[in-house]
Amino acid sequence: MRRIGLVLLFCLCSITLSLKVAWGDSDIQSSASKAISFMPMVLMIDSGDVPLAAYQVKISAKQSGVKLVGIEGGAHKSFSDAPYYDPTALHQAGNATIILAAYSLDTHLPHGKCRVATLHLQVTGDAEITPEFNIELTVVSDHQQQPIAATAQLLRTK
Amino acid sequence: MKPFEPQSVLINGDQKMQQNNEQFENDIALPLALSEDLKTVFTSGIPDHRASDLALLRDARDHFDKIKHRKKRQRVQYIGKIWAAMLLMAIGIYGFMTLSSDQAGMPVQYAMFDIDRNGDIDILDCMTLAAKNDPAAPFIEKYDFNHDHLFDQKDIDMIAMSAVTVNTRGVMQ
Repeated sequence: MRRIGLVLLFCLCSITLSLKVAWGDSDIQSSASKAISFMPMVLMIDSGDVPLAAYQVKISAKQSGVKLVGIEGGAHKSFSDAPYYDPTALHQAGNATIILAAYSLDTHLPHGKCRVATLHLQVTGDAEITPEFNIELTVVSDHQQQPIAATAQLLRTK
Repeated sequence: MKPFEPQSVLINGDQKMQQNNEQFENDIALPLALSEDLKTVFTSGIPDHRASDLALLRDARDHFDKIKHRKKRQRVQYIGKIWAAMLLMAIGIYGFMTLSSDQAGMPVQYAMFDIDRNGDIDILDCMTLAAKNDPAAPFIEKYDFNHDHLFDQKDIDMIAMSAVTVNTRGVMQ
């Protein structure tokens, strides 16, 4: 009877140990899959031949694990300052959603493909996969506030 | 030949009495007391209504003055009511125009931010306002959103922040 008890205790310890090892492996694996990385993405607006004077765009991540951590201005002098955005939209858990907007009263406005802002993202997961976004251009206008045909896209940069 | 005209036809009652009095005085010398009594008896019996007529006239004038004042007061009240009604209508129309169609459900603060009145608060409202932001221009109180008695970039920034705030009425959802 005593021998049976010792065997059962040994089995229980073995099972516990093996479970512990297995659990530890999974923790290591999950932490590897939940690696946090930071990546900048630039917002490009192509207004064609028409000078771009104002834009307003709503950007929302298609998947979770993407967090906006910073916003910068663009390349052209007219949009070099950071655009207007809601600071509470930064560091949002879940799907990141933000509205960016800027205008310029300059006489020399950019046209063609122009970098108007840079988004700094914190991505949880595979750093090699570029997150996807829904981009909705709600306002794009020239200096006379007339709407213009334009496209917007987010591009990953180094 | 002049036709006969009896004297009694030509004279009226008073003249007749006066004639009679003269006749009494001329005829015989009556005692003074009797003479006075007779004069009293034959004086005109027509009562003097002048005082009462004047009083009546005064009362009538007072009455018509009162009516006249009452009418004037009623007219003033009537005009006042018309003006009040017109003022209320103007306020109602202004309110309706201010919060028309697209802005009907928009909070007052957001309706104020809709500078270009297109029903949305967006960056174009900021642009419109920024174009008006001339330091040399006179102060425009309605654009002083932060009530610092200045119309400056801070007021424009308030609209911009409203435009980019997620899940707010007035910006795209």
